[in-house]
Amino acid sequence: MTLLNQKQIQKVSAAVDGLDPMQLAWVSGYFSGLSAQSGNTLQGSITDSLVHETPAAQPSEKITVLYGSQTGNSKKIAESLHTALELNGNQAELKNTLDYRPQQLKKEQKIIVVISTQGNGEAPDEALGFYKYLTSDRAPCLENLEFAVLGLGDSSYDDYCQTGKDIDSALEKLGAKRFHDRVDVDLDFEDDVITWKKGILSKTEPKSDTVVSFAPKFGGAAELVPTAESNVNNYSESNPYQAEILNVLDLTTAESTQNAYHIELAIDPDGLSYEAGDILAVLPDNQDVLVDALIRKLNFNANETVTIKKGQFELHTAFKHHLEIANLTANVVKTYAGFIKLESLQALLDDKDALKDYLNGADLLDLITDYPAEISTQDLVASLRPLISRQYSIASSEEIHEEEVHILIKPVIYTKGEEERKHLGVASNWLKDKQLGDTVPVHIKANSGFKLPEYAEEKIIMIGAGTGVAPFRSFLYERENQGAKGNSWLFFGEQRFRSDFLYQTEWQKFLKDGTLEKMNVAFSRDQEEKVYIQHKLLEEAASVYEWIQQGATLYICGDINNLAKDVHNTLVQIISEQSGKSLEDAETQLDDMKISKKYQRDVY
Amino acid sequence: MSSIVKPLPKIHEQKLVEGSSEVEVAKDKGNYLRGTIETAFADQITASIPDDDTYLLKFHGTYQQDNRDLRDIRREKKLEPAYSFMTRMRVPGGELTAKQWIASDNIASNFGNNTIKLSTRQAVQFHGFIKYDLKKAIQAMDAALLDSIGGCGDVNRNVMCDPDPSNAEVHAQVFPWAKKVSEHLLPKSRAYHEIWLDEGKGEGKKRVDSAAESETEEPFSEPMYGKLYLPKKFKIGIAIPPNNDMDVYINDIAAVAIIKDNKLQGFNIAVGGGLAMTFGRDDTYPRLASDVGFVEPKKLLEVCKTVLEIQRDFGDRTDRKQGRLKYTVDRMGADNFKAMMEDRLGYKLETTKPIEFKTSADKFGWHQGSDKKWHATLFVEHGRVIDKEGSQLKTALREIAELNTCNFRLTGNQHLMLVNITEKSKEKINAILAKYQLSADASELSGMRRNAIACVALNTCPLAMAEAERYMPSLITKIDPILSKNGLFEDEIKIRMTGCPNGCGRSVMGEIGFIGKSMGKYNMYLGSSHQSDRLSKLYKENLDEAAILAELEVLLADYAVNRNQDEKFGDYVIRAEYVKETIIGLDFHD
Ligand code: SRM
Ligand SMILES: Cc1cc2nc3c(=O)[nH]c(=O)nc-3n(C[C@H](O)[C@H](O)[C@H](O)COP(=O)(O)OP(=O)(O)OC[C@H]3O[C@@H](n4cnc5c(N)ncnc54)[C@H](O)[C@@H]3O)c2cc1C
Ligand SMILES: Cc1cc2nc3c(=O)[nH]c(=O)nc-3n(C[C@H](O)[C@H](O)[C@H](O)COP(=O)(O)O)c2cc1C
Ligand code: SF4
Repeated sequence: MTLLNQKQIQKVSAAVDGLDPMQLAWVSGYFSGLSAQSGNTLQGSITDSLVHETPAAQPSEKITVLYGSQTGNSKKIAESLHTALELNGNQAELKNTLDYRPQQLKKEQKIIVVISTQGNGEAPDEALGFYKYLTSDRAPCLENLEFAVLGLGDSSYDDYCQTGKDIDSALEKLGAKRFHDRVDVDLDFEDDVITWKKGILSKTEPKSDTVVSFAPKFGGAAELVPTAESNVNNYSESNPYQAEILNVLDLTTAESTQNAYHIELAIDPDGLSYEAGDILAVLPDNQDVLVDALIRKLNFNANETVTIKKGQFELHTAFKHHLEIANLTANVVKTYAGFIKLESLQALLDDKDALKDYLNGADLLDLITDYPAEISTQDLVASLRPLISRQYSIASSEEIHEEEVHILIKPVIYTKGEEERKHLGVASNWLKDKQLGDTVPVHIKANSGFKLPEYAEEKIIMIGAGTGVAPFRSFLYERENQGAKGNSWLFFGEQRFRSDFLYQTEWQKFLKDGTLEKMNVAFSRDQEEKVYIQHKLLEEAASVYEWIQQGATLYICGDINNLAKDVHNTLVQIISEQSGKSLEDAETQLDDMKISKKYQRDVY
Repeated sequence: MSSIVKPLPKIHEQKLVEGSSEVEVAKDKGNYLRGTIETAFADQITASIPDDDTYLLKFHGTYQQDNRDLRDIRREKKLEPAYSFMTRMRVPGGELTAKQWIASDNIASNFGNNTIKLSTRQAVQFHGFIKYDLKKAIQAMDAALLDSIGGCGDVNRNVMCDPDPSNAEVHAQVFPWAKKVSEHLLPKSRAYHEIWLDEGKGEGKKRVDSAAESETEEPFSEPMYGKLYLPKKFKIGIAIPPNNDMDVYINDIAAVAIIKDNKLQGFNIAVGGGLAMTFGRDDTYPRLASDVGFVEPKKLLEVCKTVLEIQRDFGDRTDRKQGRLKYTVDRMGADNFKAMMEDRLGYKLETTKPIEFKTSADKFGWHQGSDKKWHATLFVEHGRVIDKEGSQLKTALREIAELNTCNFRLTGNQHLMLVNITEKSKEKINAILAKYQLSADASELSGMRRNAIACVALNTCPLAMAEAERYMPSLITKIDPILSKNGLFEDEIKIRMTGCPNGCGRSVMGEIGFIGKSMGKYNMYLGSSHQSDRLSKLYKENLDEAAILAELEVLLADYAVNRNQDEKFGDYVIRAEYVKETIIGLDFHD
């Protein structure tokens, strides 16, 4: 918890906004001075601190903290590390890989890379240039460079923290020296990051001791220097905001084969604030059916106390609120296998494909049913990952929908293999069953990789199917609020016009008032042959290319495996056909567009 | 009383006049029924089209509608109304070949709501076409030599004619006139062919009948109608006494066939019929056509055209509720109207010949015609051909059509005739009817149900204030016991219901008529004649079902006891002074 309320924090952060590291350090000294002394001696303490600082003005070496982030986690971590380094008296520089010329690396002494993995083992869009450079043969020899890498990832993906690993080994290949071992952190990274930071700080102690003496003084002040992101939202995974449910509305009709819920939540603007393109993280509870089935199957005692990272809880509470039981990862299975020593399970672990196939959709109940064995309650919970927030693209505009945030969800429901038991996605099903007045734990995740262009006159092409259309609703309300007219084009795909045209009347309104210039729709099931969004793009190939040439920003949101791939390939085809470029060159153009933020994706 | 009659506007030059209605403006901009229909149908974001185009689309036989049952729930879900399109085919005299019936059946199931609606004007309606299916549906009609040109709109509508060929010799002379008149008064614009049949885009097979004669026509002119067409719809019916099964006098032109020794002598012509009124506007009223004279068959076409042209020139174009010929006639006075007709025709009309109508009812079941051919009149409740729990009517009729041994003929009472059937085919058809437990003569039903008409109303009609087609059957089920109790079960009492005062189900031509005022509430009208030569009059207002049944308890019991020999219900209520007699129309509200 911070000592100040949101308003105060914003004031403070406004005050320190744009100050360079040394100025920041001075200000923090000034603050602590304020807190320590009374008015008259204050002057003294300031000059005093000024005097003391001078030697710190030229510390021996410069440390560059580089981050590559999609949803802001890496950025946050990099920022807090950067602040800590400076408070330690280091000369540290914070850079987004996007704004960093990799050629610079030759001149660097020490770099710390904080980078996440996206797609299926791909680098975040904003780090693409940096990644390509390091892994290309153009990369120079970097003997004089020291480095450390923190990889962010999600162990439920095959290529866990792949980008971090690649960067780490690339730097090694180029001759750079690892001054701290690479660390990979999972979705529940908060604790691991603290340990990692300590390690880094200890290995970066500045030579000049004068400054060190400042360190304790600034200890408390550290939290007082908020970063761009955190001043918007000091709520987090570990400290979520309780948002009240205002409305849960299924946008599809009875004839539809699916449901899509538009959900409105009340937020306190002093507590939470977001921009179009940002993401709402929702921390769900597990489904009672699953929790109870588990406890019955294991015939454990629901009230037995277990110890997990978060503390001590009754088993039932731990299962329902704190542990991921609906999804498995290789790690979970490994740990479990470690405890039970079961041939068949070992075999599964050794067969990568079989394992992957099994992990896809199996939950803890499947695991203990398919691979039953005596296991202590404590050992079992120790094998599990904590239950973490699910992310939802924000569909509203803070300006228009005052004190509200909207999201659009489709419940995930599926069966695994032959078994007829329904697997219910945790958050999506939990959310759709919420009643008006219930509260849900949320926090905002800034999504710097998915933002409207700076100027309303700049063209945008929005491509989204299903729930992928959510952020575009936010975009258009935002542009309406800016009084933007035209220069916007939406491609939307769903199953049927009659029953699944999500937000239809709102798009019609935007078209009518000119906020939206063009809209194309693909309804896959309204005719014999399936028609998808990419077909509509092709139909409009010439104009799409023209818009791209006119500097339009492309946005893609929705399903990562189908939509994102197909649309991407179609864009490559369009660019190549319209410009006469080879497919490779078209690919490169799109990569460059990613780097220049003209091609932004929010796919899941 | 006649103070409600507006002065006659001065002759219209097919130019927008001061205060023209928005429909007139749309026609003026519409470039002979084209408007922006083609682009509107290409728009993928909405299943609707702009208002101006909806006005023009009616001339193509198609109305934009939406499922009124779903309006609220869809609005809540941020979805536009469930728009769909209703297309009304042009079927002069209600005549369809077996092949055309099969085509209609396919169209209904492939593109529509899987029902065929037999209208009160012997036309076929399809409900529930989705925007992007309409063109396919119209092309399917075209492939079966069917079209919907002038199914609606400010032009001449489907021409009605007594469908019953029992008197073969006579019927054969009269019936073809329905088609002749219809084609003679078709609009000439090629808009329909261009938009729906891709004429001029190489693909268009111009099969529709109007094409043949329009081939030579300038696509951008309407020699007869002119750019602004008529001020409102225009209707023509041809009756063959003693049958008045289509209530012939409610038409703008009522043509009554005059027969002598089984030879068609010509037609009595009456002008200015129409049933619609608007609640709260006494200057709107139902009216029966006024006799103007007799014409020989060969003059029928030019006479109809002349009447239509006078209406074109003098009809009210500022207020659509005053746009029908009936008001023009009252403004001129029937005699002056006749004088203008004769002036334009260049000859005098002979005096009206005496005629006698006996009934407006359909004769259900099998009848053998003078030519020994068999004809069957089948009961189709309120004209809705549908497969439902307990009745596979649609399937049965399709099987009958597949025999390809008879023609299908719609009646003005929303029922269906199978005509020109040989002894052998009769057995086959009976077999199919039996297989689906359908009775040929509806004898198990009460005389009232056999003589009931209800308009479509909810959920498709945008103008409906109350239920009609969906409600009438259950109401009659509650009236039947009252009839039995009073020994009136077999009596042919004409009962009609419409969901609003437009009178599509000709409610004011019912011996008992109901007009919806609001959900569940109806005005009750009494006193039309069984043979449909007299309008009814308002009896009670705003009755709910209980009140309706209570009133009928009294009326029917009284009628059963006190009626004279063969006295019809509609005549009795006047003699017994439940209501005053309505003479022609201006006195309707008195
Ligand atoms: C289908 C039918 C009733 C039925 O159950 O069979 C019908 C149905 C409609 N009529 Fe009618 N009318 C039908 C016979 C009539 C009749 C009876 C007759 O002509 O024998 C009348 C009274 C006679 C007359 O014209 O005065 C009639 C007088 C109207 C009117 C009032 C016209 C007027 O003079 O103002 C309207 C409203 C309008 O045109 O402004 C109307 C309008 C309509 C519309 C198209 C509603 C609309 O304008 O959007 C209804 C479509 C409902 C639906 O969902 O199908 N309908 N309509 C009949 C089709 C006839 C045909 O095949 O052409
Ligand atoms: C940046 C971002 C934005 C997002 N925005 C939205 C949004 O706007 N709307 C929205 O609805 N979702 C959105 N999502 C997805 C959302 O975060 C959740 O992943 C989704 O709601 C499922 O969460 P859950 O807890 O209900 O399901 P979980 O309990 O997390 O289960 C999901 C898992 O079930 C498994 N699974 C799912 N289907 C099958 C199947 N057919 N067969 C086998 N296994 C299967 C998969 O392993 C999947 O990972 C977004 C995700 C990201 C990363
Ligand atoms: C669409 C998507 C794809 C992802 N793919 C991977 C992956 O392939 N491997 C992995 O280890 N983590 C993957 N992750 C998890 C992210 O790396 C993890 O959420 C990380 O905390 C994001 O950090 P950031 O906010 O700095 O981008 C993926 C996350 C998303 C949303
Ligand atoms: S009478 Fe009224 S409610 Fe009935 S169909 Fe005609 S317009 Fe509709």
